Amino acid sequence: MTPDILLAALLAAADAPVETREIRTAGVSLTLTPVLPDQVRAFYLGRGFDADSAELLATTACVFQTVFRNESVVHGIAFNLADWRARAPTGERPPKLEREWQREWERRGVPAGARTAFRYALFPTEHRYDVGDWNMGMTTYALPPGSHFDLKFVWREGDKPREAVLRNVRCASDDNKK
Amino acid sequence: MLKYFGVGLLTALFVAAVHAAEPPQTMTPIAKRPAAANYALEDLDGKTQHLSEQRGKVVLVNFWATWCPPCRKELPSMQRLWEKLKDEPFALHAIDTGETVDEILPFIFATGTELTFPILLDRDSKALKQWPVIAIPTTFVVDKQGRIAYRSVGGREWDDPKLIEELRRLMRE
Repeated sequence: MTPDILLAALLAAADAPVETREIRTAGVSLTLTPVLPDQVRAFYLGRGFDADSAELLATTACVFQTVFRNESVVHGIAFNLADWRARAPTGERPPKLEREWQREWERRGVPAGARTAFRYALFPTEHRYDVGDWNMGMTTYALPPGSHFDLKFVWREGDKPREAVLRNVRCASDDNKK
Repeated sequence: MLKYFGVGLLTALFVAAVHAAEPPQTMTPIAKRPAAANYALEDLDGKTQHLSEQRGKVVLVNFWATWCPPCRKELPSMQRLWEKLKDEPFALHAIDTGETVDEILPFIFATGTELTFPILLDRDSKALKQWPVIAIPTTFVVDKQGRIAYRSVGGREWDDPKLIEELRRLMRE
């Protein structure tokens, strides 16, 4: 076991519980796993972010490691995260998109290399998957740590619009460590 | 240390999130096969490698980074693919984006597999931006005329017999 994986395993045990939510429907699957604020800080400090910028990301957004797969053996799909909606008791909102973050990073003078890493660590805003394609990346939601929401996600299968709901998604918070 | 901390945690999340169904092993043919953008990138030994020098071979071009869990997972299968095809008209370039040799080497050792195919350094992400890469990992197959023939988004098991068969078919064109 490598040091990073060992450390991850130890911390994962200490930090429980965070709950992965998953849905398989209509030829796609979507999985959201909450990323703890400390994990967000560590990852982005390691990618060249300054402490204040990493802190902003860790404390003002819910971050999820997100896996979205095209499981159809026939159809390609396309999606745009701007069309997705997080339905929380406080209202409905799209995910906070990469372009919104990038404006903030540019204003704060986050180095270009760190911004590129951010770009590719985040789940892409728009993409098209052919058969067998999938991807993993972070999605972010401008909700307080510990919030609950249902995520309506939409995609197109050819010309057909599709939608489904991933229910009872819970954001991580620093309390998950206690 | 913080860097390894963050990457390790993402690896743990990846294991938790991706243990389910194995995806079909596919490469999507690209219509009209656009010309692949050339690059000149140093490998881990400091030797500059040009895509254009591989003309006459089928080239698997993979964009990856150490902090990308699916990228790390597919590297051993790339090595197995390389061992099967390296004596054929085939080349494999794994292009790391935005990292240094000192960042890459520990992760290569951590794979537990000796990787003998060229790993190229795209330190300023210039090559990444010249290719149609929306997410990583994304892998392209360049035909013997230097055109993009296939694309795969997300990790694959690159030594899957179906993929090897398609690569060999492309070599015979």
